[in-house]
Parts: sequence; C-alpha cells; structure tokens
Amino acid sequence: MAQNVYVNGEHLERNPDWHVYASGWKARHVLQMLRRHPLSEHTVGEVGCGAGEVLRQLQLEMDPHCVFSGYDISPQAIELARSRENQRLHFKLADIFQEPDAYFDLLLILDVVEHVEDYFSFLRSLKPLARDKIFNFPLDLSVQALLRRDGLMMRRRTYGHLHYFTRDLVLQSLAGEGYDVVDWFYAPFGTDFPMGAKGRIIRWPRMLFSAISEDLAARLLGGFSLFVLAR
Amino acid sequence: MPQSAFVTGEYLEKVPHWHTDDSMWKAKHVREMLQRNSLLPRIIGEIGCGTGEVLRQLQLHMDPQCSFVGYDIAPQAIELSRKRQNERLNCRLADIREDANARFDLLLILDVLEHQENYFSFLRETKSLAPYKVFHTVLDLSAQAILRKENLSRRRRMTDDLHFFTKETFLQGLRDEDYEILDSFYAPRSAHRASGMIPKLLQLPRRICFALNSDFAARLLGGYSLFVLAK
Repeated sequence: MAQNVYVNGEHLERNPDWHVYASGWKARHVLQMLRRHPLSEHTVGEVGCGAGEVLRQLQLEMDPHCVFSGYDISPQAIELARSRENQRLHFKLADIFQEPDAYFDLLLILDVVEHVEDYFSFLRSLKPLARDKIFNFPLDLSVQALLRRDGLMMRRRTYGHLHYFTRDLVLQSLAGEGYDVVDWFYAPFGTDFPMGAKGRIIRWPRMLFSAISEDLAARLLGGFSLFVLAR
Repeated sequence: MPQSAFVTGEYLEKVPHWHTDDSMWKAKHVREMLQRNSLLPRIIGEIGCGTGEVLRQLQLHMDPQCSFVGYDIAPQAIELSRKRQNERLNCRLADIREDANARFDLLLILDVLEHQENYFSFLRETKSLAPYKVFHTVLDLSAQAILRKENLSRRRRMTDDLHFFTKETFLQGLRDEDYEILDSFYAPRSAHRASGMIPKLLQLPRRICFALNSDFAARLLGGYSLFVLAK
C-alpha cells in the first residue's frame, strides 16, 4: 500500500475536522440501536475512533459507569482526541488487533470497513473482540453515483473509500464472515448533511422516495448509511 | 481465512465449464491488445489459468516459439487443463507468488482480481513478475445492476466475485499500486454471450448507447468488460 494516508497526515489535510461534524449524528444512531436492543454494556470500544467525539457524545447519554476506549492508528486523530479524555474515556494510538487485552461488551466500527484494504480478514479479526458490534457503512453504490463519471472516484479521493457497498452487500459480507446480524436500519446521511447546491437539490427527492421505500431511495439516489447490530 | 471455493471444488460445482466457453473470446482480445501495442512476448504466464484454454487459444495463433505457463490454485482446474498441455504449454497447481522462478515477458491476469480478498496486496505482489501485464475484469457495477435488488449479492453467490468494478475504480486500483496504464478498451461481454433472437435484440439499446458514449453506456447499462495493458 502507498504510505497510509491516516498515518502520514494526508487524511487530516483532506478532512480537517476528521468528520467531527457527523459525530453527534452517528452517536444518535448508535443510541437508537441500543434503545431498540437494550444491551448490558459496561465497556464500549471503538475501532477507528478518530477525534473521539462519537464516544464523548455517547458518554454524555449512557450509564455514567460505562468505560469507553477508542483506538486509532492515526497520530493526528489521537492528538485531536486527547482533549476529550477523562477518567472513563480513553484513547490509544494503537492497532486494536495488537492489544492483548482488548475485549468489550460493545464494539463500534463506524465508517471504517470501507477504508480497509482487506475488509474480509478485518471482519474475521474483529469478531472475537466483543460480544456485540455496531457497524456503520456508507452506502456509496447508487444509480445516481454510477451515472456520474466521478461519483465513486470522488469518494475514493476525498474520503479514502476503497470499497463500495449496497445494503445487500453489507449484510452478505457480515454473514459470510460468520456474523449473526441482529438488526439494521438506514440512516439518511445525505438528507441530514446535504453537501453543496446539488446536495440541497437532491435532498427533496431523497425525502420523497424515502417515504415510499428507503430501500429504493438508497439504491436510486444514494445518500444513506446502514447501521447494523451484529454478533 | 475460510477455505477457498476454488480449492474445495465448490467453484467447479457452480461453474462446471470453468468459463472455458469464454476462453476463445478472451484470447482474441488479448491478441488484439498485443497487436495494438506491437508486443511480441516470448514467455507468457497466466495467473488463474483455469482449464488452460486461453493459453491454448493463444498458442494456436502466436509464434510457435512462444512458451506458455499457467498457474492455478484449484486442483480441479489443473486437472481439466491436463489434456491441453504440451511441450510449450504447461499448467501448474501452484500460487505464482510462491514460485521463485516465475518471470515472464507478459503476465495475463484475467478475471482474477475480483476473487482476491485483498486485491491491493495481490497487485503489489505480482507487479515484479513481468514487465507487461494484461488484465481483464467484468464491469459488474452499473446503474441497472444497482437498480435491481440483490443483483450484486446474487453475483457474489454465483461466481464468488468479492469485488465489483467500474472502469474508473479498476484503473484507479492499478494506479494506486503504481501500475502505469498503457492501453485499455471495453469488450462487449453481454453481446458475446447473447444467443437467440430476443437476447440479441435486447443488446440493441446497449450498442446504440455505447456508440454515443462508451463510458456512460458501461456505467448505465453494464454488460461490458475491460481489457487493460499495464506496466
């Protein structure tokens, strides 16, 4: 692999806030999943925690006795996360797979899988690290993304996405690596965070199609993420 | 890593001819690529040679002094290749990356990348084996493929394709691993496979759209594959 863009600072240059703008949104959907499936989590880990804002937002809403641990291989991200640390919220510049004691009641893997070269072995390696896992996958594959010459390439250049998913591919990939998918739901990222003029225009058809069928809206117009609870 | 469907015999059950019916078509396009770029290789290797029919077809039409060596990790495929082997055409049950003597003028990598869990590391590991490489991949990502529910996941079940490409994402994958793209062209795979009056008529809109804008037609309607010459 060309030098890792998460380690050499290139990702920070392209994404100066390390996606903090969406952290509250992600945390809200993680909490939504936990409300749908009350779990007795006392330890929560996050792979690819970035600036740590998702864990901070979760700490504000969850049992005060919960302990949160974020891992990231990016020195720049962990540097950003340091200001959020407290007694029960820790961040570590480390590859979680190299940590001998890493085991959690709940593990968060939010917007990570699409960045990993070999996401199949990544999924296999994650499986024993926690009882429950919550994933978030951006669903980049849509008719409108395919029609635009730059639709997928923009996601690769700007966000570093190496793999692209539909809902079916997400669920198939997890099942293929031995995960038991407990629940999933769509989250309308494009509607909640419309990007530029085009994003604001397409927001309305997205909302309209969503009212008819979220599945069709996701495949046709894109702009959705998938949250999955799996074991 | 779960045992590969190519090794267990599962793939042969799904694809009994091991794509031999496409071999002549692929060989024709490989020769077209060599002619377009005035290449006269003396030793040609193939990764994932299957039944060896592509190499046999090339041998029939190329300089009789050329040598051909195929590699496949599937015992069933190599067994099927036995009857095609001769003094200058050899197929081996081996992973080419473990053959210290594997050096060629030209390396064929036809319908192989999409089956690799980590196609990025595969590209890195095979780069030094030959100065020239010809790649072929089916361009499964199209707007019509996304529109049809479970289309991609069905393809993954049927043909063990782990990755799906557009022309743009395929070429970018090569560039990211420092390959220099020398030439590429579309090949009308659906038209080649269509038999009977109605399937052939259904190719008409595809052909018209392709004549107007080949990139857009491939992304809109699918049905094309891509041959690439890279260094």
